[in-house]
Amino acid sequence: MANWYGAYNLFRRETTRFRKIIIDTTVSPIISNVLYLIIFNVAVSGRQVQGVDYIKFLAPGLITLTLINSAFSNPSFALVIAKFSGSISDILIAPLTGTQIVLAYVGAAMVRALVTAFATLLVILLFTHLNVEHIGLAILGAFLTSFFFGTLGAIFGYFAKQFDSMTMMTTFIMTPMSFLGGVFYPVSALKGIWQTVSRFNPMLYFIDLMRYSFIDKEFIPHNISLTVAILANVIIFPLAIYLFTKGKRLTVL
Amino acid sequence: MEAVEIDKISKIYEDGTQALNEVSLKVREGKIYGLLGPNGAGKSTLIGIISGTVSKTSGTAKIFGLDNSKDLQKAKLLLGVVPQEVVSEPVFTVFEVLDFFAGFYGVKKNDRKKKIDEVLEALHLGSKRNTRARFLSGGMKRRLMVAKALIHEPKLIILDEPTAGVDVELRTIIWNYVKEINKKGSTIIFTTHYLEEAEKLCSEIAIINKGKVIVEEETDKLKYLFGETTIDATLENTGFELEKILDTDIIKFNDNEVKIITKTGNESYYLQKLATLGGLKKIEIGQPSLEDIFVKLVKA
Repeated sequence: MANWYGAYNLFRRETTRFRKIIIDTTVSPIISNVLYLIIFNVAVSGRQVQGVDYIKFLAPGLITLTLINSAFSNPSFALVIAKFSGSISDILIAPLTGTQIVLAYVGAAMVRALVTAFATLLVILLFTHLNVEHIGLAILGAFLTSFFFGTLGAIFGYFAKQFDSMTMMTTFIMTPMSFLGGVFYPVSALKGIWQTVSRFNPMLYFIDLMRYSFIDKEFIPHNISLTVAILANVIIFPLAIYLFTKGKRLTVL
Repeated sequence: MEAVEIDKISKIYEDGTQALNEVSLKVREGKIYGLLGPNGAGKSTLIGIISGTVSKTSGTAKIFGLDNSKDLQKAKLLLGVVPQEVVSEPVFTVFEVLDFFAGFYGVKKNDRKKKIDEVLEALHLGSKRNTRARFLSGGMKRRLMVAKALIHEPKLIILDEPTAGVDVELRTIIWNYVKEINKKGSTIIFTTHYLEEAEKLCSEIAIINKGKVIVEEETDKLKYLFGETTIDATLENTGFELEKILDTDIIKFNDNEVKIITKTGNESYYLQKLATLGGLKKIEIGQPSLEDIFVKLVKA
């Protein structure tokens, strides 16, 4: 008999964790987004990108970036802290399978990401009028984005050996990927090799898909972005299950 | 029925360290079983293998007949484990820690609250119910770990040095509760460095050294098999011969005093001889402690 009630309780624990430190997990990214909006509103007021106001262009990028960062942070930090505090033993001892552990962590990551992104959307609406042109695709895109980066965060938390690893991942991988993913500018504006490099950045496809669903503008055809987003999830999820079932790196540090 | 059946388990870590070498042992249901050994003997590795948190290199481990490499989740549902390291949960309160943990084992919401209050009272943590777990003292954290292991009323409880660093009063609290749980039918396996604790509580003991079980026996029998009794007597008569039962027995005369060290169980022979030949004036008999036996076996 599969212990799905146990998995639900792990999910409940991980969602409660981010609710208990809501200033760090939810309010803080919203404030960052407000600052971006204020600064860019002042700095590039009236400028158009791809035929729309820059703020309207920026908004889906910020929402997707919020989805990405929140989904990635939730499981990765929870696992690293658990490894350091020793509470990872709770997970090891508990009668849960690798699949159940991954689903619980990724589920909680998605809840945090979707709540924070929705709150960001509400804040953005204070600055600009924003229509969602393809609402079904926006919802699907939000789910695919949060699922992929939640799973990536869980994998990273699985491998991380020290707190420094978290900072390194954020500074040297996530931030450059977001800059090369077209959050703040159209990737078509990049020159030469950088545009080619951007095409190898998975974040680009998630951001472009979300931007298309909000403002109907795309750099990559949205069918390709959607296919890449689905494929990325199809590849990463079994990998996460494999790792958590093996569980070799889930140890007290 | 056997609560735990370990058959020829070996563990070689990635760096080549052999932690366990073909260890076999059986723990009968309803017993309190002590797993003793010096630091680095392999006790925690063995406990990790039984609880499914450490992979084994070879051999089988069965919990109530369930092979934990095939039915790990089912086996884990029957287990409560107190790990050796003190765990500090940074965000949650004592109640939340227990609430989530009980949930992992399928304890339903309606039953959880009652069960949590009961365990917290028994372990004298009731007043800390709404305190963040990380603000507890070391001893309280240790008791919280015991509470976590017992919250779902497991059939088998494994305690890896549950009283390390805990003061005498709290140790008594923990052991009284564990004994109560045992009386209700749970089997207990524990490791400890307090040998008097093991001697008092365990009906059976295994001593592990360098990855091997060097002895597995009922606690009382262990004394007969490996213990040495010391007899110190003051006599009325001197100048008589006392024949040894075993070549290893030690007999030392000093005027009208004699000291005899013999295998436990042989003391009645010497007492009878001394009474008949020497006329006993005063006598002191030193029974072997588990500590004596432990030191003797581990040194050997």
